[in-house]
Amino acid sequence: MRLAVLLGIGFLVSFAAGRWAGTPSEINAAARAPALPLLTISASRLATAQPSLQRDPAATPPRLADALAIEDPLASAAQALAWIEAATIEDFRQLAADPEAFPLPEFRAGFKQECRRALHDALFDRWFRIDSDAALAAVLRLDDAWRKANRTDTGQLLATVARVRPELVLESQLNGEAITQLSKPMEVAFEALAARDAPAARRYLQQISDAAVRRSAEIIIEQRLARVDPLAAVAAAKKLKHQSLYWVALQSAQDIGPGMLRQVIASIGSDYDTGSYLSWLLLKEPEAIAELPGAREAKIHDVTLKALANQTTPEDRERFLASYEKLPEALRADAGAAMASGWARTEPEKAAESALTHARPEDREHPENRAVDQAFRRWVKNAPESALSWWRALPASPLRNALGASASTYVAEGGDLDLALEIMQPGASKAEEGTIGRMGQLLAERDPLEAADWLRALPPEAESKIAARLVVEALHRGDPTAAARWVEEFPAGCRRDEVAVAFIGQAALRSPDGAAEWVRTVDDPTLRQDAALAVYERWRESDPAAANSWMRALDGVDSEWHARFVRMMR
Amino acid sequence: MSRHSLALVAITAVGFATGVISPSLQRSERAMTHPAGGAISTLSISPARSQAASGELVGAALGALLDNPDLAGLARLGDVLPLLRTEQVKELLDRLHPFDSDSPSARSEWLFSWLLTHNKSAATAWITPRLVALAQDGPAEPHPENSRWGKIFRTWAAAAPEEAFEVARDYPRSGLGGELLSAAIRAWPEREGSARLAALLGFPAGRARAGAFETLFLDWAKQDPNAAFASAQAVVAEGERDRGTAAVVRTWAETDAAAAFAAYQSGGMKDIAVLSAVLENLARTDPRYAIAALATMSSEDLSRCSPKVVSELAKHDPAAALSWAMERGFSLGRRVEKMWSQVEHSGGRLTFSIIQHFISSPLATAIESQPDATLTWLRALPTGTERERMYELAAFAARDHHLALDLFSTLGPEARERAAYGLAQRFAGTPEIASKWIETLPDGPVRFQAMAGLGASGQAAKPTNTRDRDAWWSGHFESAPHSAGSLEHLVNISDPVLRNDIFQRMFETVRGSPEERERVIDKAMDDAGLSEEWKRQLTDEEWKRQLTE
Repeated sequence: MRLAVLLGIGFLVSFAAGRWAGTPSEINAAARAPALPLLTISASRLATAQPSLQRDPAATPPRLADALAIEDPLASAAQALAWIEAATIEDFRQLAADPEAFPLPEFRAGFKQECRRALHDALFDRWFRIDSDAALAAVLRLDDAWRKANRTDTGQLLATVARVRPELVLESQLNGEAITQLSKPMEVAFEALAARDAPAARRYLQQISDAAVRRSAEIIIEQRLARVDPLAAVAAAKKLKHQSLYWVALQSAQDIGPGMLRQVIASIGSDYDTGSYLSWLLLKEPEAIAELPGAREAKIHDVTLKALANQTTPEDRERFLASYEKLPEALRADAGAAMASGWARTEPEKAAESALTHARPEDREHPENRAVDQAFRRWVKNAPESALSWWRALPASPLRNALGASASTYVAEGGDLDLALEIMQPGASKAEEGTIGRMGQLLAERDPLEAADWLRALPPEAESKIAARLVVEALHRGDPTAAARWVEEFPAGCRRDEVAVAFIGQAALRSPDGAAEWVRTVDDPTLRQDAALAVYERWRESDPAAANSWMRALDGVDSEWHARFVRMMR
Repeated sequence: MSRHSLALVAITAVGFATGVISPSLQRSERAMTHPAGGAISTLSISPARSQAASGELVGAALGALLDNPDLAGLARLGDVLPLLRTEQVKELLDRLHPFDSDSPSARSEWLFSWLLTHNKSAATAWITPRLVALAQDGPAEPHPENSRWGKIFRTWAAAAPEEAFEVARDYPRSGLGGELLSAAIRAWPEREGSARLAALLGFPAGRARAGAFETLFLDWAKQDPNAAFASAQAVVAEGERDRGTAAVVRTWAETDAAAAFAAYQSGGMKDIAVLSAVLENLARTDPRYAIAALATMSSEDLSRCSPKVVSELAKHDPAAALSWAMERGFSLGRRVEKMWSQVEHSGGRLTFSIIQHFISSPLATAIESQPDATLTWLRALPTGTERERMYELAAFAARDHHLALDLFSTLGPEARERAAYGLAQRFAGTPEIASKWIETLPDGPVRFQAMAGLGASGQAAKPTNTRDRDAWWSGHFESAPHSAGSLEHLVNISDPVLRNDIFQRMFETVRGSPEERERVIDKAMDDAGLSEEWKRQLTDEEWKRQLTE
């Protein structure tokens, strides 16, 4: 009878695991699994367990529901633990009797998942210790009930079993039968066992005959081990040809420190893109960077770099500056900018002066000017008077003009628009489009007509599309008719097309068919396309037939784009 | 207290804490290997090592906070935290959330709240330099108020309003300064609006103060709109007066629209957005008055204010509302009420964004609230293109499947083709109904659009023929983000022209030199793992030309 029960349990584990994994072939393979190993494990567990079948009458542990209702997750954990430690077989049987009420507590953000996981782990650990056979069967029934109820947390219960009793899951599934895919509980079980007893986890690999499945399991084991031995993980990544192992190795190495990270990067070589880790190392061990493979071609994520630079010490900075000239050009420009930006939080003038020594004043857009630009921007934001005084003392140069443009929007936001206009000398760089736009916006907030005059007077090479949009929006808000007149009178050219597109976008909100008339006044085919799309989108909302008909007849835009758009119109 | 006694207390605390926390933490590899973690297993304390042990205690707690602690570890962490010195809790927070790192974790938020509850001044000392750094850069995210940082600093400002006021005072022009000031004023110790106004007037004028005026008057108007309105009107600075008054009138309109409308008029306000909001509320309580008010407006103001009023009226009397709007040529479809752009400093950069405010379709409101009356109104329209247009808009607007399909069935072939896509998209929650409906459609453009709509809704489908499958994928590509991840599915489309159209559309927004564009496309195809043959097919200009000819 007992054997039959255990065989049934083995079947249920395999069945549920197979269903979880989801493919029919797995279900069949799992369902055929005999349960003999499970019997052995269960019996041995039962033999070593010391269940407290009777509650100490003197102790009055809290009710589990009350414990889980406590808002403080740590206090709740203590109370729940007290309940679990005193729980009897009968308590667990009562818990299992109502799947809907089985504890899945809500906690405040910050601990919800961890508390649920910790609670279930503790609960199941105790349950399996005192009532192993019935526990497994009950968990499978609960899991089935949750699955039938389409609960989003379905699968959590079997995952818990795999965490607290990984051998149980692995034994029940790896029993000489060929498996074609790792089920989710097996993945969890391999990870849990690798964390606790890596050789034991590896022993189970021998029982997998399918090479691909064995490789998947091995990757899971190595990923777990990579957290403590990144270099071994790199070796495993090379052996298994698995990219994410490199990532885990790099993450772990960064946690351990720059020395380990350097070793790991060197060991990875060109097998994986180590760019973002190189950037961190660049700030910590710049002298080592040049020898590392891939450093010259590395791509840097400048936001991350900036955040990292803010965490460097003055000693890191000194080392970085001392190595600056020896660093690959592509890296040092970005890293220098990040370093200068962080430094300028506390010593903006020193940061700016230092960055200036690496700058190229004659080349407005040179990447190595970014460091002085970053330092100066921060300085202007926080102490505009001293920053501007420093800027005024700089010799005239394209770099000085660029710095003035950078600073202008901060000065304008500080309330001195006239000074901002004085120091802003826009260049032709696309990168300055935002600066010009912001200035246009601030001017338009003060006086749309003044902003309109300013826009017209901008040098032809200045990137003004955003500014045109902001100025026209302000004009249109105040007086749509006057805005239309102003656009009509704008001198022909690219900027006129920009203001016309901006006007069309606003006019289409009220009258798409009226705005459609304006589209033909835009000469540039790409801008005309933008204008046409603005009209079409609005028109479709009120009159889809008219909008489609108008779009079909549109001319003066890229013919290939137009044909494609018409073919794909809904 | 002597140094000896201090050491003794420390040893006792550390010993206790270690005893309770280490069993669970020993299982944590990360705590044992983390640079900050220290070796938990070496926590046998001697007086000389008390400082190091204290650091190890922090490491131990950190391990519990960083890793997946077990239940005993969590419980014991609850015992240990109150034993830690303030500096140690701050150190924990530093480790959880290093200075100027990305958005804090949920765990950091929790620990900060814990510190704030137990030691407000320590929490203030921890958060202040971070707020200063944020204020120096501007927010790293476009909408910090919705971020976890936003929640953290608002929680702090609510608990320490006077301190928040002072931090904001140093950065009166930053967005963060504004957020802090608003949160501080909302939690100001003196509850009377006039006292809060007096405090606010002591803050430097600028962006932060203007925003806080709005918050102050919004709260004040809920308690005493008359007093709030009078005070807002008395504010000297024009911009602040306008924002304050607008906040009062908007809030007032929610409880007494007629009084708010009177205030709007008596205050000489010229804020069309406020007027529109007031009239919307007025239409809810007194539709006739709202219509009468609209009649006195200029055509431009009427055009701007009427959509919300019409939508509100359509809930009660769809025929009157829709006819009124139609007679004046106002759109009955969904529309953008306003659209504006902005450039802002954000995280040390300038970011450009476009904001659109949509107004739902009055026809949709009518058909939702009063389907029978709206259908009667539709049927009574004279036959012709205008009637067909209204039916098309109504089919698109109806949420009820049966009603939508009934309306759809009355449309002409071209209108059905246009409406099928949107209609199928709305069946997202009931794919079985959608599939059943699509099965009734004959092969052709209407069925193609319906199947594409199903693809766009993200519903899994099992198209049985090539054309349906192409349609489904075309919809999928239209709605899905055009990432490299979706590019690999392009090969599922059989029709080469359709496939190329979709491919080209995916990269339409990539502007720049032909070389830059080519680079982006090449990378996307590589990332998607497309074969060389597919790459050639998708990018060969001559082949494409032949196809489209």
